[in-house]
Amino acid sequence: MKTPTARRTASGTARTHPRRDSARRGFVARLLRKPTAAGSAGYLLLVVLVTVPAGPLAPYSPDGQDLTAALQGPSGAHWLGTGELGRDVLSRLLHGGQVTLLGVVITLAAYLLLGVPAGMVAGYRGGFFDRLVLRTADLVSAVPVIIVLLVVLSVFTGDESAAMAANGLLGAPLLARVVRSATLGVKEELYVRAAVAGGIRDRVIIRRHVLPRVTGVVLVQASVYGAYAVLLETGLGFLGLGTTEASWGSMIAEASKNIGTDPWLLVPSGFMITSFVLALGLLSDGLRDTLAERYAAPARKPPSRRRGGGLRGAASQPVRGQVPGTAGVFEEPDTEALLSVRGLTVSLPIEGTPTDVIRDVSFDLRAGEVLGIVGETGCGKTITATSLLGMLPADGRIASGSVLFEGADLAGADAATLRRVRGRRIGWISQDPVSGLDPSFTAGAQVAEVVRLHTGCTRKEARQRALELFAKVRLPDPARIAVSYPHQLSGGMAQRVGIAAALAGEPALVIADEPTTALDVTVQAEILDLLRELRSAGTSVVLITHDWGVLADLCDRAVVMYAGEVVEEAEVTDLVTAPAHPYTAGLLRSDPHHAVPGEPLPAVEGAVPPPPQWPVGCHFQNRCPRVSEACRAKPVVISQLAELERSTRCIRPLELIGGPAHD
Amino acid sequence: MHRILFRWLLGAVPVVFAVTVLTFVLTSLVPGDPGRTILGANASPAQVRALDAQLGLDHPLPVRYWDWLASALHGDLGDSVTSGVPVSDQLTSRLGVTLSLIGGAVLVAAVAGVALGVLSALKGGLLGRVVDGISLVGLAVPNFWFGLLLMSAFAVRLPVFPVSGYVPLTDSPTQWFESLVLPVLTLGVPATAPVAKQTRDGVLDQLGRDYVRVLRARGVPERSVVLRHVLRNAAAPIVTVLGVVVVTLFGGTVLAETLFVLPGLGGLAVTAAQTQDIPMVQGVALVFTVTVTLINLLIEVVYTMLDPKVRT
Amino acid sequence: MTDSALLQVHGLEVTYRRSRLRGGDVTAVRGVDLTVDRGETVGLVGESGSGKSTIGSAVLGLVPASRGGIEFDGADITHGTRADRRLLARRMQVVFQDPYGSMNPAHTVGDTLAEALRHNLRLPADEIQERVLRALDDVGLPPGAAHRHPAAFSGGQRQRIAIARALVMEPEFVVCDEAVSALDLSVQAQVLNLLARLKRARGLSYLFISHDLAVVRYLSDTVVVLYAGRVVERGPAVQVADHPLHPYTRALLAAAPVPDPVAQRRRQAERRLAGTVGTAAARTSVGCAFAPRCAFAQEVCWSVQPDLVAHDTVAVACHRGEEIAAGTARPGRPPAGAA
Repeated sequence: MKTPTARRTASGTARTHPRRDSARRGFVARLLRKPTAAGSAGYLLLVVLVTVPAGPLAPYSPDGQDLTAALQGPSGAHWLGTGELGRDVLSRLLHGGQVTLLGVVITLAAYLLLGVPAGMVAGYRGGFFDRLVLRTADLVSAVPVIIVLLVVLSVFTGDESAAMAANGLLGAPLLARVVRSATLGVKEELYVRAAVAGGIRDRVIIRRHVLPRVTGVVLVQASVYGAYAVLLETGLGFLGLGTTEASWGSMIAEASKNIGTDPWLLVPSGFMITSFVLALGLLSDGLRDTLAERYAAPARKPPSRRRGGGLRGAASQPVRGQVPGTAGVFEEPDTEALLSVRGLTVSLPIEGTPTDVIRDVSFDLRAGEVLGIVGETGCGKTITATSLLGMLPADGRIASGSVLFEGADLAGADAATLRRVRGRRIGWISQDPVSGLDPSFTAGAQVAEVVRLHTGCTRKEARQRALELFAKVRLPDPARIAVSYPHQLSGGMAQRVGIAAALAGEPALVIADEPTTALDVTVQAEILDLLRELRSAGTSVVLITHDWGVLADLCDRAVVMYAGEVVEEAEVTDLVTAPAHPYTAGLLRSDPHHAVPGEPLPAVEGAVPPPPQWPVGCHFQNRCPRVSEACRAKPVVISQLAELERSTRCIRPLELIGGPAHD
Repeated sequence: MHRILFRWLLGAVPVVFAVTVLTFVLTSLVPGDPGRTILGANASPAQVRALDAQLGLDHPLPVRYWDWLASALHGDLGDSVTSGVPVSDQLTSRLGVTLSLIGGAVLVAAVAGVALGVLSALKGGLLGRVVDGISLVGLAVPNFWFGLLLMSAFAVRLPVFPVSGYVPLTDSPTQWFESLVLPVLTLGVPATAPVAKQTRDGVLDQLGRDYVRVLRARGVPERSVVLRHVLRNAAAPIVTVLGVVVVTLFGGTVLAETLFVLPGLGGLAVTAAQTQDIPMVQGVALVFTVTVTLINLLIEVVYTMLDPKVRT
Repeated sequence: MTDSALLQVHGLEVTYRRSRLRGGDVTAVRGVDLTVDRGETVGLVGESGSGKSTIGSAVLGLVPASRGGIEFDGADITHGTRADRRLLARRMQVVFQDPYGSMNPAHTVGDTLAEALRHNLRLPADEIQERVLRALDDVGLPPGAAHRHPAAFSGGQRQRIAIARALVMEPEFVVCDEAVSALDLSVQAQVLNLLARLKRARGLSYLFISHDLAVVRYLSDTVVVLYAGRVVERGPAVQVADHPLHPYTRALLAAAPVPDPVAQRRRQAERRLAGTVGTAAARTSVGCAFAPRCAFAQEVCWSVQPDLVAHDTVAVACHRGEEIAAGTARPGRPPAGAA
């Protein structure tokens, strides 16, 4: 047990060294690595640094008049020109910035001091205070802010600070609502539940788990609201309701009076406001992205890491171009078969590098047969299935190989051909039954849509046909189900609706991608019964599964996939009683159905390598108990086992004669 | 539907109540004496007291609020301190201008925003980045400044539209339209940004969902996938954003109406605030708040129609 | 009540509060009795909605019990304060299902493992370091793992880390809430072996919650089968899994396919004979919750809630348990909704 684990993790440490460094970097450092965010922060800092000491910095007094030079464009004496009464625009901009900045500071102070504590308490404690915060936020969001500010300003004439403080107070409940939901989100994370179960005090949980998460959210909100405050403050200045001193808003009002004679006057103040707000907006985007990176839910599969460090070269041969020639059993497509796949190789960009994710996949499916594709997560089962229908993820492509279906090669087919096949000749049953249905349409409408699409009948006929299909998939009350929305259906019922839709075009082949994985075992049994009925009615099925039991229950033949390759292909009975490939054998023995309590389970150590780390030679070599030097030397081809209707991709297959193979 | 109406009343009544109380309390803090303001500095203290009594200002605040509320419910919002005209008359004559302005701006924001958002989600690449850029700048440009640019370009430099002023629809539909084009664009174009952003994010999110993959696998044409299914599912949050946009547009009218000298409520609010015309300020605040809550009701109804989970 | 009992749950009822708009309160657990002896592994089996995870959460104090009591080593912990929980956490730990959500992605593995040692036990730094490294070694991870973030590990490795986090506290009792359900077959076997080895080496007791009867049969000494928030069958794991008495347990066993096509064909036929039907059938409010789906249901099943009655080593909550045990039971009448 020790050796393979140690080997795997030791290489893992070396591989992830760069990641570790970046992960250690603080929030600010990560933020400043983004050029736009860093630029924005720099710009904002610059504006603050020149406006705060505007007195000594500005070349003129903000109200200094020079009637001989009124309303002139930029010049050596006045870099940004002059306004009414010959006042220097640059000096007024610098001084005006103080007014705006003060307004923003006042707004944010009120906004943060009230909003953050209220939101955190509401989120973590819940109860009455929580409801109070939510109700206040609802209330405030329906109040037109500017009207309240006008009321405030009509009372405190010209007192902009009062207006900006009122603005902050009006925004605070909205901030509290955001903070509350962030807090609530963290509180319901499993790791917080684990901390609670670990007897960690609330205080510590808030400090370690809640605050860091909420801080980012607050920063984002604060920069957005700050931008809003700038627009509001300058708007008040423009209306002449704010201070009588020079301000960015009043400078635009001045420009508007002279719009016929001196349009230039619009530029400096307008640019100032826009650039300031833009910088705040970009900063908030940067903050949000940084936050998202830090707390991103990791991919369900082990992350495919950048190739690098000391392992470059050795572990990562260029992946493309390594495709071995198809040899042995699978040379020519079987024209007798309904579906004949040959040498299918699909490549997807992984961190920018096009990488093979399945390689040299070949199998045949005869009419009326059920073929299982079995393997663990990350072995390429789903990619294989989706590529049959030409539905690869964006940027994915079939690098080589053919998919011969009813005489046509789907691998190279154009969109129109594929669309004619999809639903009509090949039906699809998805893994998650409920999310596979459009939440906005009733079950009946969705099935009727597919019926109409493939038969071109009237709406009424399509509805009728949908009801017939619902009866066919044994839904208990077709009329009621037809008018139900997906969220009103149980998983089992939703999967029956999905199967009805897959059958709507009367396809010759149905591809079912883990159709029962999300279901309870008693429901699974019923869905499997239904699929078995399909087969008796003459429909062929490709079933993707990780469950040996499901495979044994339904399938005639099976292909076993490991790390992007077919490693074994055989009749199911032969496969489970006498596996030839060591992976098949290992996976079968890991199944707890065979387990003897008290004895260790015969586990396959290690994990499936992600595509960028596929070794040269047999992909299973690092986990295989029978590995030899030859297995590592060069790619292994799939070959037929002597005299048998089965094949395996192994140079040292297990003994087939004499019952279950135990190495 | 009754449940929505009930829920809305539960929200709207406190909002209207809170805003009116707030304005009332705030305006009671106004320094100086309204009677003195109206009568001028030369009036005798007795005259001022008499007028204060006539205006009911000698009563305590809650009583005054109750009196105001009672008459407001009968449509009487008092008279303007500056012009002496009944506040309600002013408000009704100006409401139409503000509503046409907001209606036009929402239309622009909704149509352009959804179209841009869908396009950028589907085409991605350059167009996506352009929409992103427009969204960012749209959020950053102050609308009064943007209005001035429009005015400078299309009214001063190229005199296509009037610089300012308003022609009622009943006088001349074409002139009414022309007088509204620049103000509507002033408010509508920046408001396109949040709508486009939400549409783009929503459509992208929906395109990644399982059901889209399944629809494609069933041979549903891409057109139908996007227009019938994806857009439908992305619609509810877009409607929510439109609701927020409408509320902020009410703030925007204050600026746009001042800029283009339109005889709407926003301009009225500014003048009233500048001249401390308290009854007028209270009246405008009431009408704005009630209108906003009515719009929220509309949003709620549309939202419920769009989302079966809320409906059923 | 025996001296050997480590955990005792009696009459546990848990109700989740929900607004009337969303359908009102939901009672997830309805009067469950349960005992875990020292060194014993008790498996909780059931499908979604059976209440099995809720029982685990109630034992951990993550959801409040609305009725009944929970005793740990003789002390009542039903309504323990956070301070009580802090002491209890040194003896009782948890491993959750989702290896991807159970660790703060912003913290290193070492930090995650050290959290409870630092903030609950308040150990000195060198001892924390030593315990973290020992726990990592126990679960088969290298010391270097402590410096890395959860994102750098695969699902199976993360589940090992989650186990290590439970182990650093050196507990006697661990709640495993679907701890291997999200894992692939070969990795699941590795983690099951790890759990079995740790149990032997440290004399741990597990409350092992799973939907998979085969996994529970392998790891548990005793199995408790739940349906709609009640215990329907309880007994030695192998006995219950191989010769179930309650019609629901039988349905569960018959529905789980075995990796053998020949055996599977036979089981299909048996399952059709047993005649259990869908999950959609409405539950009765008074009688046995399984009656609407049960092939053996009689009048009494629809009106009277059956008690848990012992038959030798196994206890079954079924009006016809005796007949079924004796092999004389015939299906009552066709269950409602059967085609």
